[in-house]
Amino acid sequence: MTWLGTVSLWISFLSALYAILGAAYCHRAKNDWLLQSAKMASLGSALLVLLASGILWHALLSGNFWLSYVVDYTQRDLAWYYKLTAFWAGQAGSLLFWLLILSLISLRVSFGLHQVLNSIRACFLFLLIWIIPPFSQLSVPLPDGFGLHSMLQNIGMIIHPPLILLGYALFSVPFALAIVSMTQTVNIGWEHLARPWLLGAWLALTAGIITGGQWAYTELGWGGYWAWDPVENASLLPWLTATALLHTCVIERHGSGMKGWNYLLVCTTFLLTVFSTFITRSGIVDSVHAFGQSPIGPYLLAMILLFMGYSIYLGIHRQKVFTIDGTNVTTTRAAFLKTSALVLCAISLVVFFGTIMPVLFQVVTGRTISIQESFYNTATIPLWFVLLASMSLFPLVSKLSGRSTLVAIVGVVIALRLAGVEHYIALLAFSLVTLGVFGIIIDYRVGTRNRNRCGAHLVHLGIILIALGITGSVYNQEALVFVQPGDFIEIEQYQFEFTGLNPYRSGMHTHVGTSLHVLQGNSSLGRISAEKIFHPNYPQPTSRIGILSRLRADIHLTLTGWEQDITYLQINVKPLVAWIWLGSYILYLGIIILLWKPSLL
Amino acid sequence: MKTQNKLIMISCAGMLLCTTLLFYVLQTTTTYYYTIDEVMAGGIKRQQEMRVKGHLDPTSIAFDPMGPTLTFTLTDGANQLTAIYDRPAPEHFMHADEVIIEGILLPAGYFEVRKLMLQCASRYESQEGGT
Repeated sequence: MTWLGTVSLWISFLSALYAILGAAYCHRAKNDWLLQSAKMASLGSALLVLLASGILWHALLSGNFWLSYVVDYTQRDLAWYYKLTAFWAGQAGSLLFWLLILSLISLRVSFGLHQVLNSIRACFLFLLIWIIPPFSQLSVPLPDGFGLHSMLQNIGMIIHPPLILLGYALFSVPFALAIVSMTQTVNIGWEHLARPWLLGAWLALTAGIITGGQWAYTELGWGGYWAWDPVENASLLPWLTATALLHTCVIERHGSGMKGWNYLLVCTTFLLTVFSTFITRSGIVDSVHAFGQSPIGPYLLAMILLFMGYSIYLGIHRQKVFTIDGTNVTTTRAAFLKTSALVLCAISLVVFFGTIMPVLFQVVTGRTISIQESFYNTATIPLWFVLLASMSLFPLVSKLSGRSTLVAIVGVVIALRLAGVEHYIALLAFSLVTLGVFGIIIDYRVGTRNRNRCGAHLVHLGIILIALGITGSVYNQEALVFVQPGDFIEIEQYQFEFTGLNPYRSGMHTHVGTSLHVLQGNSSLGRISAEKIFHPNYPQPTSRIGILSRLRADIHLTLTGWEQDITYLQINVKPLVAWIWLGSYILYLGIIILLWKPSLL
Repeated sequence: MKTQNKLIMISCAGMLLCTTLLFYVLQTTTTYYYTIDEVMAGGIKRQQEMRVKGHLDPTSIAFDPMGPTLTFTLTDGANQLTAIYDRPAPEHFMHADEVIIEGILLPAGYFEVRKLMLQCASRYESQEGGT
């Protein structure tokens, strides 16, 4: 049966090539028969990818241990839902999943876009046929597979990778629309058509990044919700440029130019999705989240250069399009939007620079370096503040007089300072957050109320709350404590009562757990539990950290070890983290409202 | 035209300033990777923060499940570097192949690990042979 998978990929590849060449020929010489056959080939190519995906899923679920991919990522007693998610656990499968989404999109969009989508599909199919075939067979079947890495047996694995890949694949549509628009003699205004796709892609990528952060946050040793790791940066880059694009599209829609910027940003966003795959899979940069070394790096680079070259060629060849419809009237709103877009571009440049710097440095000097988190924090924090200020102050500036705005700013800063906020970064951030929320309320009450505005307000409110949560990290506390049963520990305003260890058996495993009673003043906040799990035939116990999440702060407990009566605990107090997740839910709601009725956008 | 020239000059000055600042920040936030060979050969300043990548020798792991300290050896095939880490070990440390350690070299020749990263978090790729 798996031979059918390989054959499907082959025929899909040939069909995609036929569709590309056929449509290109029809563009020059009108030939209805050829055009129809190209359409059929394009459709067939997409359907064959669906068939190949179905075959791989079937192999994973049925435990076909002839396939090396199935052997590598599943085993007989793996839960069915992890067998399903094993589809994107490996390089080949995750590329096929991207291709699957691209093919589903192809079935939904008009044939005009198929030329570009087929080109992308052909590139991926080339990789899946010659470089990393998902259907490669072993000479003899194994009795069982090696299984999915136990760290990947997590709900994060079910949600995070497909969302990222969905976002990447959806960005292909705005790119295809822009390219097709540039090849037309009449300007079709691709931005309006692309907006729902762009918003959908942005929603998926945002959710993918945030769920990845949530997953990493709960795992010991993964660096928390964000660690400026190259692989994390790789997914942030297209997000940044796409966010800038959403803003420039709004400017363009209101007749203030930016057509050139839109084209630049949509191409950059698409290219960055491929670049992200390149960074993640080529093994070119050292990353905590490193994927295995793979030979696909040069091919992905070639793909980037191919699409970049064509985009630049079209941009230069059709640059007149960029001056059409642009009145270049700069309103206050346009100025704020432009500022936001420019700052987002600047942040993406810094992140891009930091991500590829080790590679450039190695090429030039032969030495390997690592860029620390502090580089990104130092270089981007001022830019994030400008962005936050632009977002927070615009509603105030547009609805209040200059004097009232100034009074509001000074009032908030003084109030927060009097409330005890001393850290200058926190003072600035909390001021902007307060002003931002205040501005959104004013704008909502005074300004026009429609679905579009409401959605945008919720998105901005979500981002502001995420900024609040991230700012809390300046107050992070960590303590390593040695305790005996009956001891009280005090960290900041929290007290912890340690009653001892509780060993118990569960199936084949031995658990040693502890549960602390957490108090704040006289009020009980609840209990927090952590444990070590000892596995048979595996010398290192695994740790399950305890998290007590509250809006004021998250408390993390790690049971580090013990000897005789002494128990070692690590307690982390992470203020305001819950606001990041709360902000993200509000943000999702905002985008869903924006997407609900695209005609209003 | 004059305004345009001014704008170009201001933009160039701004870009130059930003680039200079960026390189300044970069200088203070860059950690050099050293091979185990270089670390063992000496010549590295004491207390200098560095990153070392190597293969974990699974037989070298002195892991007391009751205590917080972990001792292990990284190897590049020819040389070995003993490292000490006094925090909870990351999950599945013993199954790691490549390990990145960040920290300082102690006078006794041990490496004090301040940050321990495993390449085995390779979320989407099994190691050779599939583990």
